[in-house]
Amino acid sequence: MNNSYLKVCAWGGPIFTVCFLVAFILLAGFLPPPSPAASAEAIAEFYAEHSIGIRSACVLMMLGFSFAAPFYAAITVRMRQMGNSSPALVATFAIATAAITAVIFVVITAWAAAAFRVDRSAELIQAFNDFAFLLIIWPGSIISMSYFALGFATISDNRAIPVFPRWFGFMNFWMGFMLYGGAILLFFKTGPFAWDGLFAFWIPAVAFFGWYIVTSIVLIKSINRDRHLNE
Amino acid sequence: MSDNNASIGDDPKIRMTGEAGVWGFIIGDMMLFSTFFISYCWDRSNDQLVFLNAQQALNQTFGVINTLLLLTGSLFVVLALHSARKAMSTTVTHMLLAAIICGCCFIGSKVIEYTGKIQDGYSLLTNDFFMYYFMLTAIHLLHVIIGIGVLLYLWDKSREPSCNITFIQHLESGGAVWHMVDLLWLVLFPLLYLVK
Repeated sequence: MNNSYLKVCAWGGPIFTVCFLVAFILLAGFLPPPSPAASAEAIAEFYAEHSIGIRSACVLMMLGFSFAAPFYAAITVRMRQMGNSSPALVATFAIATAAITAVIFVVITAWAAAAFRVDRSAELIQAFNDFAFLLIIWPGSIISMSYFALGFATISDNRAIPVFPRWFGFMNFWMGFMLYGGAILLFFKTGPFAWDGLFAFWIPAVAFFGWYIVTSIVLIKSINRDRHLNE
Repeated sequence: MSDNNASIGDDPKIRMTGEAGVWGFIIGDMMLFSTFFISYCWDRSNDQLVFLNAQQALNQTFGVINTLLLLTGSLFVVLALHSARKAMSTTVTHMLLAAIICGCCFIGSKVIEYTGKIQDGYSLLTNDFFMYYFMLTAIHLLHVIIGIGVLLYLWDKSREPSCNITFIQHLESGGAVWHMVDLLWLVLFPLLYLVK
């Protein structure tokens, strides 16, 4: 088996994380995100003011997010290399992460569509903005499912030196729960469960980006450690 | 660990109770709930009258019954662990089943309570208090359901003839998760039902 590209693929995680964070926070100015309670005019003004920044952010996110695919693939391969590996969990992880990848591309395109013609009617810009923020926060459940699959696979690993440490499995369960805070954002325009609130945005954002950072470190370390086994 | 008659897997010098990863998860989950509690107290202090008035609509009897059910469930889990350490596997199975029944009764009583509230015209959109009431209790209820899942797994394992050290460790970890669910309710109950 050729494992020489495994580490290259694993580096897709850090590349994606850096691109996405720089684009979201520095270029687009989406931190904090525009309030769901803001009027259409306020949203249109936000997009007009940040038009170049948001479009640049979309370009960077679109380029950077492609690196998530090799990263997910590297994790999937490591899941298959676990002792007592479950094909059902590997397939769940692969399907869920493929769905996440597809969803994020649509989110980026929705932001891009909102920023593409900032002189059109404010309601249309607001609609695209709504669509983008609903789509990036609401489907947290499918992201959780990928975390749960990885978590169960990790704690079922019965190799003498497991592929991933056991605490990493439990961390996946914990972060998976944190992502459910956005599940009922449809009912709120203000407060902690609205899409700019503590439980729908800030805690899931920590769980989402924190997962990429920790998983990248754990994955690259495990590949380095097992290098002699794979060659 | 205080049981002097214990025979299997009860030497603290050799191993810890449960598993480090599970304790990490429990601490993480309690941190998450702490942010819920802090957020609730913060919003409550900003809007005390609304919260106080809305709180009157809650039925404390349900809260007390819920608390008793969870505490009884926790007692059964502790008894199951003691029996497992003494290798009394039939008792373990019965005790776990009793704990599971307590958990199911908790779900039943919550369903009755929610139905009553909704029939009285309260929903999570009524005001901030009811948003917190429905959301926090629902998130806690989700934990109860997951806890019951863990207990069902342990119950299934306990029916296998061998009562070994791995099973006891799983029982300790699963028991710790169940006690955490219990502990979270013990904070949630006074915050929502009792604080004046």
